[in-house]
Amino acid sequence: MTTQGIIVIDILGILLLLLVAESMRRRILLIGYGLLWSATLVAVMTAVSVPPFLNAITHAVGALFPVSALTLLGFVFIFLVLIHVSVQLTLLNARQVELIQNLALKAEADEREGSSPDRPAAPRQDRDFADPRGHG
Amino acid sequence: MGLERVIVVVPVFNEAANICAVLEDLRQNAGHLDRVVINDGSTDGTGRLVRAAKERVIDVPVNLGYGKVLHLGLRYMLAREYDAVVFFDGDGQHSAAQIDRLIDTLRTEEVALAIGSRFVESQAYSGPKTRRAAQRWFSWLTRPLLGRRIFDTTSGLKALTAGAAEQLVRGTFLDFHIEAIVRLRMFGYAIAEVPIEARERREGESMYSLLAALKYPLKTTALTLVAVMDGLLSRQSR
Repeated sequence: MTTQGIIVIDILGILLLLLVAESMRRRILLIGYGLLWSATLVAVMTAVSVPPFLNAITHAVGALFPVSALTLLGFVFIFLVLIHVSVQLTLLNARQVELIQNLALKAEADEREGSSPDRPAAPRQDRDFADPRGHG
Repeated sequence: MGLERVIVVVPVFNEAANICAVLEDLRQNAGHLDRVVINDGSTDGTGRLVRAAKERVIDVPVNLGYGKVLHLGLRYMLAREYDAVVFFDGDGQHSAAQIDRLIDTLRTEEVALAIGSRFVESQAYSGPKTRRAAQRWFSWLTRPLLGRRIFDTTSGLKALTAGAAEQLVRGTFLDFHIEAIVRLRMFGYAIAEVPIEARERREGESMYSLLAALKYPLKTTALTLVAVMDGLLSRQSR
């Protein structure tokens, strides 16, 4: 890679590192993800800036050319990230469903207790809205 | 098998056109059983109608979907310590007079799941063609997986014991159809089919759109395989 190319990539890498740091500071990026992206950026910048490091990676994965090694590692990395995101979404969905179910059960229990002879019933808000929603 | 306390769970989503007739049928023909309506975020006033009829109702604040609502029904019956639960669709397809036969089957045949089957004796019930094709596929799938054919894997009328409910609340399901049946069998629970007559839905729209007709068989098949894996791994660890 040319010296100019290395400088451009390193400048971009530093800017992205600052973006990741700012996102963590603003608490819009979890610390774990911030560390992951920071490490990834540092690894890419190092691979580009230090040719022996890139050559070692190329040799380790059995590729002929550095670009092939980077493409393969990039694909594996993106796949793992997507799997991880899918798992997180699934877990969030499960927690959301559980919360909604708990809400519904609690509301029913409260309503049943409220309608017992010892306690007056609390006024209930009608939850049927006018706008149609799709089936889940 | 002592099944003293049984509850009928009626999941509904936008069944304002049918729910009053369904509740009247339940009062007339299964009035000796507790019942609860689970209103899955209806937007057509179904919840108001159920309350006006002085029926017990669980209002779900946002639409969860049929399977999640059945799961909620299982959590409810276990929390209230019922011995068995009967799921009864709120679209008017089922007759409440058939509920007692399912409960009797749980008792006399000592099974954990009694399915009200539309197809074990008759093929009169039709339904949309895409749905029938999916039903035939899943029915066919039961033989290699379970060693016997279950003719109606998508029936909305089924009775389960508390033991079966405890097993099912731990699993992942789409609509509690074949994936639930396979899961119960893989974990050693007995299943029976009880012939029933079903009507076409009276009013309103089916919850199954054309897109769902394409996605549903794929997702349900995948969940069924997951149930098989769960069962096999469970047997290995014992």
